[in-house]
Amino acid sequence: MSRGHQTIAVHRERCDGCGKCVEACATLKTGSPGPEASRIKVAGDGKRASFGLAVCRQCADPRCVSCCPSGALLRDEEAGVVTWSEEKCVACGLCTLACPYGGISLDPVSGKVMKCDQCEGKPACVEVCDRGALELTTSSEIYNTWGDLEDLVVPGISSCLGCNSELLFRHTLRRIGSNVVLATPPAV
Amino acid sequence: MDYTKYLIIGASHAGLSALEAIRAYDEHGTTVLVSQEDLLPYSPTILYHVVSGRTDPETVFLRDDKYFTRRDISFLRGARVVSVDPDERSVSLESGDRIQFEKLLLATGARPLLPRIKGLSSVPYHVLRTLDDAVRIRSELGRHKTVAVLGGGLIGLHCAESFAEHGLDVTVLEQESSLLPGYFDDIAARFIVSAFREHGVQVMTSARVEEVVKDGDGVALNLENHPSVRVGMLLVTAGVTPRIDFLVGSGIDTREGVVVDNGMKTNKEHIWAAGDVAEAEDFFGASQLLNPILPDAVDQGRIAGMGMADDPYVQAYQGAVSQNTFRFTGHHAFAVGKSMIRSENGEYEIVTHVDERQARYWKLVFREEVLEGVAGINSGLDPGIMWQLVVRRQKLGNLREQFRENPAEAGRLAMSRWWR
Repeated sequence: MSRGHQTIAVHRERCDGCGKCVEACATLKTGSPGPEASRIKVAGDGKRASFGLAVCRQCADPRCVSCCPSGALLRDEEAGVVTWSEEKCVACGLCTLACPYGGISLDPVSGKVMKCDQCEGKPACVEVCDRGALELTTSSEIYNTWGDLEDLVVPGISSCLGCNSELLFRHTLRRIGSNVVLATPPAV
Repeated sequence: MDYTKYLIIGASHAGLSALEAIRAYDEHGTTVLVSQEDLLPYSPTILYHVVSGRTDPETVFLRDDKYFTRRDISFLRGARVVSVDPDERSVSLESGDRIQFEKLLLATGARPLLPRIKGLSSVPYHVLRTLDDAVRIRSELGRHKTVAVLGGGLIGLHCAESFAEHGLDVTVLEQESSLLPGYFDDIAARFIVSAFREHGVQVMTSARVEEVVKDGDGVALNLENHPSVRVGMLLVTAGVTPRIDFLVGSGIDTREGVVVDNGMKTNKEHIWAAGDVAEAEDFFGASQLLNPILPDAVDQGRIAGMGMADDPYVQAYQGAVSQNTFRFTGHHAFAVGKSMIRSENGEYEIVTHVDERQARYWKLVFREEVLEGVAGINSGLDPGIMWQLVVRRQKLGNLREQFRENPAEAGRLAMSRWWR
């Protein structure tokens, strides 16, 4: 069975801050387009020159899961998605402190934890983005096998958005030892 | 005598995190996890939700038996370690059994700190650190009409909130002049106090208890400068202290906790410590400090586990940074780093935003170009991004102005720009 996971790739340079992804997410999840309840967040610099996007990366080695005291957050190894259980969650908010990416937050209206669940494989944000800033890509099996062990690159990003070399080189070098120099590192 | 390559004492966040790190690098090295309670692993942080009834005590566990069998880890439950012999590399259990180890992690956590108050040992009182404690408090709630909570820290306030929801008359007694003094400044603390008062909790600050005495079935607390308080039930939540009593005579360096370097190693070869029991380097200074906070236990455990497995990828501990989240009476608060700094003294620039109508507050503490502390109540900020900005000592450059106006967006932009 293939263990390729779907992941939402962000091409920040193509984002013009139109906010359609935010509206689509909030509408799907809550029935109202208010940006507060969106699982994906767009941030501008005020001059509309550059934008930042915060959304759960479905990390292979998720810190939010390690820091959850109630067992409400788990990583679904099959789907490659970090899942949240409303029943178990006590809304302590420690996950929001644990995540360096702003990928999990608290709904200011309900007070509940909210995070991207990739809409069962059809993310509303990706479907609505016509700027090409959001893309649903699939990371490959060999990447996941090693990434499950420990993601040594950037947790959640499918390694240079598709290239597995860096992750594999890192794991290999880690086994060989620290006195080995890689003469041709993969390009960024 | 049993032998194991890795021995971990303590089965909460630090110990579990170390296990994960060990197994990521060494799939088969013999590993024994020892827990003094005869239970699967759980987090002390969940316990006030057991007290409140939000969480069923049967569902608090973070791992099941399968987890350990699948990873070839022996989990020894209900076993108390009574001594450690670093030279012989062995520990002794209360049962008389001994275990020899190659590498040892002390992740024994903390126990409740009991204040020195006259009469405390002769009155009935509760503490909250184990699942047993939580179940016991929960079962007694129906029997009392009044309760006093001694200590206005996180655990005490969480419990006070639940007690009030159960219809009890609750009094919180804090000896400092404000609640949660390690995390929040006066503005935030005033907001928290008024939220608790609205919730029906009586809050007394600068309240020093001189003596407690038995009063019928309950307890009377005699205070300095206040009339005495008579209650049916007393909960002592005066903080925690590392569980290190079993290390006496071992030669392992301890002060308040087990002293570790930035690889989480003790002064003894082959012995590490992580989590609430460890006294590690301070992020902002050269001193050592205790930082009994869940995310720090996770990070320290991971570093220790990687070190124990000789994983060359191990990175040095960056130093303890105060950080926490606090949910109370429908509000969400968090604090990171030097969030409690109260006034400008030239060294720091403080930007505060208060919106009383929307019960919204945030505060940023800058030193030169770097963010060193953040606190918020219903702030909409991403606490984890703020924490990263602090620990990365990130120079904010031209984002600095935006941080004053709209720190939530500025933070997300910073994240996208600097660590994606």
